[in-house]
Amino acid sequence: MISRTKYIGAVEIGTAKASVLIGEVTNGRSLSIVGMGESASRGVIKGSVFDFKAASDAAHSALLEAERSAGVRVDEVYLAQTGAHLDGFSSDASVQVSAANNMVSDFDIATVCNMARSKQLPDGRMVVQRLRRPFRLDGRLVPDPDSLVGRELQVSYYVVHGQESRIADNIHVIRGFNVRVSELILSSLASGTIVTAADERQHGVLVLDIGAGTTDYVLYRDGMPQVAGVVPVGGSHLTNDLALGLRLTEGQAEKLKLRCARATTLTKSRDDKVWLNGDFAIGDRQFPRMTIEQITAARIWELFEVVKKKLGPAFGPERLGSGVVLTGGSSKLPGIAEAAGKVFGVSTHLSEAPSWVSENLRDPSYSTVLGLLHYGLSSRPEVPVERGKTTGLFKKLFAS
Amino acid sequence: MNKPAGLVFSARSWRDIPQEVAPRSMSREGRRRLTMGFVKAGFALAAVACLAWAGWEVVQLWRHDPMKLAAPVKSDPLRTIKLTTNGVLDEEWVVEKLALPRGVALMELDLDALQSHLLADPQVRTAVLTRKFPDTLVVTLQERSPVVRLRVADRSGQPRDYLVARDGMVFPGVNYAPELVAALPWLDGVTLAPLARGGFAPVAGLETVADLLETAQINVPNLRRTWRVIGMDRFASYGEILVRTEHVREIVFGLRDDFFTQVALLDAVLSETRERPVGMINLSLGKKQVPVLFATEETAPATRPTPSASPAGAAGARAVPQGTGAGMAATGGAAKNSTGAVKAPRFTVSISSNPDS
Repeated sequence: MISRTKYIGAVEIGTAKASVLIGEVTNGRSLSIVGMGESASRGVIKGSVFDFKAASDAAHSALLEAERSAGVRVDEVYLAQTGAHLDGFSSDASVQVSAANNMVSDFDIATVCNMARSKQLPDGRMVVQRLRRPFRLDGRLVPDPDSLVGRELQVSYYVVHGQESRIADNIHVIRGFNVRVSELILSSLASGTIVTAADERQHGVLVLDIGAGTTDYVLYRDGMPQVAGVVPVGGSHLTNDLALGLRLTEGQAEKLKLRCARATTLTKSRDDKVWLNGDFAIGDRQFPRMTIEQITAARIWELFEVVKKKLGPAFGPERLGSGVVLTGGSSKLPGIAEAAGKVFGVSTHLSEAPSWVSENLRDPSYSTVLGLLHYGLSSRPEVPVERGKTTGLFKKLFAS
Repeated sequence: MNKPAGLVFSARSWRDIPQEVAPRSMSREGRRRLTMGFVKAGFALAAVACLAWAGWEVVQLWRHDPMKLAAPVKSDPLRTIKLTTNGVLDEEWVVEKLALPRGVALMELDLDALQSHLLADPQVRTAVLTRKFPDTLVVTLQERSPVVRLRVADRSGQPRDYLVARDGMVFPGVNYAPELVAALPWLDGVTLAPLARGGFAPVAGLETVADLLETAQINVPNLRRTWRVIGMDRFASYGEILVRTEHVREIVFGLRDDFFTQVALLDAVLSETRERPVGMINLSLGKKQVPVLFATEETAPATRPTPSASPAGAAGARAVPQGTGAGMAATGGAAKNSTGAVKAPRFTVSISSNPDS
């Protein structure tokens, strides 16, 4: 048997950096990561491309570096999608089971799924992803209702949609490298797939991927994603807050953030001060550590509150058995898990990459690109195909 | 079956976004990849075209001048010719016929030409030649089987014997045992047409004669052994085959009835007339009536024929019959209406029962 090998590039065009991983997929089953590349991102604000050329240069540079490190050419790309323009809504549908013996058939499943998926969107909006929640048969949760007996079959989708022009910009950046985008995956879903285990998703878990410009979140329950979204706040906002609050340049604020910022206020005394540069040169000055911590903690607290508010009734501490998992580059902020725990009222921990991930990719900032490869290969079609359904010429031949 | 409700999706998906991007919008690396893609596609097309052209050239060369192809291929000199045949030809004959140069390489052999050489001999019906590496040429032959023989006087007046196969092909006959040839009846009353390339055109009607001989051989082998001459003088015009045997000067077979019936009648008539010498039996009129002419002393056929010959004409060689029967000696054409020369009481044998019984 001839093995078919395909090289897939997982690309995340973030606000701070563009990351690329190249996965070697053999026979559509086994995955090996063979190349990696990243470059400082330009032309992207809050996850959206505003300077096509700059964004393209950054993304292509990362792609090229990854291809060189892998020694292969990418065949297709799985692209992460984020941005403040993304929004979502629930779409529910129910049908009466059609068979006289009340046994659920493929026809019933296809009907209820199609009804739930057929909601219209405003002009200029496009579906990015539809997240199917578990089926309910007469109110009871069933993973696959096929051949079960019941009267009413219900299904619910969480439809994530975005602005067409923003999505097209994102795709065209990759097409400028003359590679086709074969999958567009929500960043939060990609991250959530890689940093949570199946049993955590079953018990209920909230994943927050805190990047530089955005925070992507996804809430899992009963093993499936229930709600996903984006909050246009990230690590760069901490930098901005520090720059404004302490009257610093962005570069100085970024350095100070990396050295002293915390998600909770730990320092009690205003006398505890830190030097801006620490080189005692002209312009070097001191800032109260507590002030820095208060500024960043307030922003982080606010971020979690916004996420909690956006989750709305879907969020409930009693339904998050596995708590909150924090990932993304900004999740390395000290005290962030503690802050999240206080806001959400559940256990919180930082993400850990699976054991098969190599050491240089275990940093939380790679969880999205790792998840892109994993999710893209393991995801299945959302709507079950009717078994025995005839298509094409056969259907035409025997159509009445 | 009902159609699932709500099958029409009004919401557009990201997959509806066209992914075609103009080269102008591509980065330098993207354009380079696009160019490389075109170049690769061009090279691939050129490679395919080259392969197709090369294949066509090889086929043409193989068809028209295979020796050129053989030259670059190293192969051992031919050492063995292995013959498989259903007849009497042997390997010596094949070697002589092919006349291959000494030390010729197996790949240098032009099998088509060699096959033509073999097929030029009318004794060979089909010939298949194959190379068996490293050094053997395998020749598989199917030969023609002789049905009758005939004697023809060549230009110098010398008689030459030929054999005739079921399909009418005339051939000299190589390697046949003398007793097998001697058992074949002579053919008379045919005109051979010489061919420009040598040999003769096939004799028409031989298949019918072969059927008659075969029927007789199967059903009355003792009678068949006494048949000496098969005359085809009246074959085309009257649809009659004349047979001269050791004991009967002329037996007339017709084409109207099947040969099995006629052979059965012959057997019955000869059984009925065992006591008297028979000059002629005419089986061509049907099974209801069989005219029989009894022979006198001078018209009775001799039991041991002696050959005679006549020179072949310019237009065609006349087959020369064998035997000493009256009216059939020199030209053979005199066999027609030979019954007229018989002066003997004539009677008709009527057979009312089925000859099969």
